[in-house]
Amino acid sequence: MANWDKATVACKITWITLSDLDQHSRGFDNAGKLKMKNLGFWDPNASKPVLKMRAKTVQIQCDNLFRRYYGAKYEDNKTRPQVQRACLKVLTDPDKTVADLAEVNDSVYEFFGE
Amino acid sequence: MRALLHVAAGVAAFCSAASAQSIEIALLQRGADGSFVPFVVGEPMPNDVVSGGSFLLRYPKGVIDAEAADATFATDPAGEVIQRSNGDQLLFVPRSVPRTELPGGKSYLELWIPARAAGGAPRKQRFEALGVTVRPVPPGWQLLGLDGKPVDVGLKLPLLIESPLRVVEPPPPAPMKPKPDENVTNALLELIDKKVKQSRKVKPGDKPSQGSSVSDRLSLLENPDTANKLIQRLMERDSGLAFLKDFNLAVKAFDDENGQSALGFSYDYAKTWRTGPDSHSTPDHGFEFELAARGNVVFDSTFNPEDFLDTKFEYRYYRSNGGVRDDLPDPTPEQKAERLDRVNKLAEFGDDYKSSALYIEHSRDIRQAMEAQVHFDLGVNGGVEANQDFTARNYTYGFEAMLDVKVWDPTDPWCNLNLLDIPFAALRLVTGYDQEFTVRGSTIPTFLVAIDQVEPDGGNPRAMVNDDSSFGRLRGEVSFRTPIAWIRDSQTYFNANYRIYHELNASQAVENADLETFHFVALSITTDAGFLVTYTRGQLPFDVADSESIQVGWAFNF
Repeated sequence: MANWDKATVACKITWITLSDLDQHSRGFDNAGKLKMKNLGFWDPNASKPVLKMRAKTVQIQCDNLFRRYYGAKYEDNKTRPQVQRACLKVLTDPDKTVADLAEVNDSVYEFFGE
Repeated sequence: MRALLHVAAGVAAFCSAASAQSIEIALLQRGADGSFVPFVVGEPMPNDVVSGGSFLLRYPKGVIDAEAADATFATDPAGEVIQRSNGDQLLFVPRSVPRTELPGGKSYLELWIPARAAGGAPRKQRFEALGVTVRPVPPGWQLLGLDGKPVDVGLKLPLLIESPLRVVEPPPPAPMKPKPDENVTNALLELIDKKVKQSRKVKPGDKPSQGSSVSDRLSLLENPDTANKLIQRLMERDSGLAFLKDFNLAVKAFDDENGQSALGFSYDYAKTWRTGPDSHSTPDHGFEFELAARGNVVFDSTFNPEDFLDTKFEYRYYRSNGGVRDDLPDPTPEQKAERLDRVNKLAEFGDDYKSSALYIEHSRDIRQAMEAQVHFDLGVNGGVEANQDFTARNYTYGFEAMLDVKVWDPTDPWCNLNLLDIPFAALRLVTGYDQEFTVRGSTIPTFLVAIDQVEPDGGNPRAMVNDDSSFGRLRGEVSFRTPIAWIRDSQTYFNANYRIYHELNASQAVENADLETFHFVALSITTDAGFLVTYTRGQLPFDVADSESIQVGWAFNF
């Protein structure tokens, strides 16, 4: 599992944003190990296209909040499609964790306060 | 699977393992502010040797006694103290200590001996590993983790090399990169042997094992979990098989309703190329081209309870409107700092953070930024649906639309349009999950509607009634998931999925055979601890009979 610590802004912003989107209700310390299949969007019975659609809705809203509420920017060498592709790769993998998602977010976003 | 067994047998017969070993356990990075952050980069095993890196040590008694520290570390040939900080910490840097295993079981440790005498130069020396021991952390010293608290990484650190051993002049190094197939071979053997060792029960008095037998290795490969681990590990390595990772191969044991089981595998491949604007604005929209293939294959083709392979391409336009208010101003530096500060403080709370006044303040503030999100996809697609031996197949092409609407603000009146969630809002109140009756806009179902033209080719079930003509088909799916309770500290969800395949203008023969419409329903309750109850009923295309099942169990990840 990727690093999950309070010193990393991406971990904290990922945690609170998923919570605000009703994807989990865990405190910071216990949220990092949650898997994608434990989050609110993951219907275990859905077909792949529908599951991906639900994941993309969450990804787009995370992107909205990261940039327009928290003031994050894409890293200099990243485009919006690249950011979306990287995040969706984690979001659509049932066994990836919230910590893994935070790690990807950390690599594609420049958060305020990093 | 049979092919895999043959490969393993060949590997076991012809290979011997002799490789350089270098296991990194912990390193220390310098942060932008000059602080040091230790982190673990590998999983140490007892008696392994650290290849290098640095460890942050703290002297719990308080301020470092420089004289004591020097007396403890300075004379150690394996490292040196290079920095003291904060009065009670110091940075200890072991020298690079790679261990090289040579044929015959002989191994060496190679390390630089720092020059301590004036005018001296560092020397590289090789020590025979035999006789080298790992010494515990000196009394009173601790290794710190990421959070600044003492950690135990399963190995006594730092590594200190006891008394200088017999010095051997090292032969010139011959760097060799293993060929990809050698990587695969070694990885396979290494992983199998690890599993074999774990599965053995060693009794006192047993002779130490010299390795795994071929039969040991083969028997373990018949276990789907072991095979999956091997596949995953192999794909992660530089083995030439990494491209298979996108296929998400998984070995499975398929069970039928009579309790019979058979081995097989599932695959799931999806690759998406996106084109369109790279704007940073809201809405987000663009075009995507996607190739996807998924299905289940059982080695005994007469036995496949989930016999449906789906391979298709799709070109679509997607658009997401809303989510955050259009007129939301960009945050000022002060707002960014204030919001981040609030999140920093909330992260210090436990699982009851939502009951804090600070979270209520945060929630109120972020809700003012959000609005309903409308996300849709419109696309054309084509592909092949088939059973696993391709004796029954449909060529399809058509139009597909998906809609996912979410109202993220739980106080937004539009949430009440989520009629499906109303009974679960009541259930949440009963179970104590919610303190107020709250219909969630975040759980509004996702919808898929598609119209396909289907060209049957092969043993489609419709052929049984002598109708092998092409036909139009309406396809739909609804996906819903909502929280219902906390059960034993585990968040519990109710999930519902419904799919329908309906033939348009079906012939009388198809209607009479009840092949006009296929329904499939899956209802489940799942917890994040792994417990699940699943009820399924219905049939998918190519299923001749309707089926119904209830599954109760735990999902484990090994």
